[in-house]
Amino acid sequence: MPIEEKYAADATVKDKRVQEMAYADVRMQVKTITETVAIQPKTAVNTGTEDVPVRVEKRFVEPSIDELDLIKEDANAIKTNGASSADDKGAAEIIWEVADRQRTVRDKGQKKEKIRYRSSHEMFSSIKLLKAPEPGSDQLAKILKYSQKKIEFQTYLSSRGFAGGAVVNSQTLLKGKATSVNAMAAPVQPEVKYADL
Amino acid sequence: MRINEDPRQFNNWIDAVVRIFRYLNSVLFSIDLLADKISTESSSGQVPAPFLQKTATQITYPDGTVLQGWKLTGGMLLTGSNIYSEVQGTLTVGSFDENPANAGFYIAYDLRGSVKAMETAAPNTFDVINSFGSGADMQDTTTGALVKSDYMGVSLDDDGNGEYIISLKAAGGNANPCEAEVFYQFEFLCYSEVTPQLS
Repeated sequence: MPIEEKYAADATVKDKRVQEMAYADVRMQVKTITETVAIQPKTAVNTGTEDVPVRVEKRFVEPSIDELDLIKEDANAIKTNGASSADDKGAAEIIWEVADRQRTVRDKGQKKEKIRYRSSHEMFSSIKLLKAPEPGSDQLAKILKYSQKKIEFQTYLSSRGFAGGAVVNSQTLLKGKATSVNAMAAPVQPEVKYADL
Repeated sequence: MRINEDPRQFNNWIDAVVRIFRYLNSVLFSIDLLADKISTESSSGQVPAPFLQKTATQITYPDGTVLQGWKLTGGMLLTGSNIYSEVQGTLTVGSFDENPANAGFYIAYDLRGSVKAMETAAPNTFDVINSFGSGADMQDTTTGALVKSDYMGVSLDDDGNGEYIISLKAAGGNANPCEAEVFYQFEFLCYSEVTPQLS
């Protein structure tokens, strides 16, 4: 496997087709945002003597195990459907993989089982499925703002000439696994603002 | 009976002293650990979500004003691009009085952390760990070689009323996608009357 061929679950950079399928596709019963923003714990402040709760009204919510199962089911139906496009199959495979990994971690967490890795790289996986916020909610305002800022700042950094002056994404981020039979038809299409979906 | 009259009792006495030292050592070690105590609700399968801690740093003025230290810690994998702007959360620094216009005061006190990247193009594959900051090595994921980052830092974007959107920013050293595992710690000072919030 070429080194640039990243597992989707490890990727920070999102593909627009994955983002769109998770957030807006009618075939997905549980709509999610594919975010790198970690879920804030209930107690983000630890003073050593007391914990101060974060403002819970703005927390993103992780899908339940049942919902993750449903996401996997829907994604699997898309990726195994012969009528699906290559892009759809690839996106569905990535969503399936992220959901599967998240389910494993969540399940073990609920059972208070410890998770051990060989490499910190595995622990540092970035993308998470979070439930798509309800219209008009604080969470929606938050994610719209975050995605707006992300694009703005990327443009700003590239305008300063860093890293050659243009945003370049991995070419083969789209494959879930080296053995994957589903791959998208074209290289990464960078994520867009949620407001544009 | 004096202790030097019975070797067994002397040994017991030595044993007791050793136990006391061990106990004191464990207590002191615990205190040391407490300085960076991290209790996360994240599963052990994940890097902890960004979190805030009160630090021991304080600046006290003669008039009683105290600037209290707080530390924001976060970590994530940067991969798949050559330029990153990854939102870490929203930090709210409230007003020292009831006036919202006075919200948002902070002093950037310290920024540190580590950047781990892998070299796979050299004959020997190895990890390299640099301090968090511009110039830290990242891996060019097209060639596998290490490349100095053009930029790496944390930004706070004032959103009004003392709310800052915190972003982890990085740019690789060339136009190929670059990768690194990043852990950063940003310590800031704000008025002791204020408890900052992360959301």
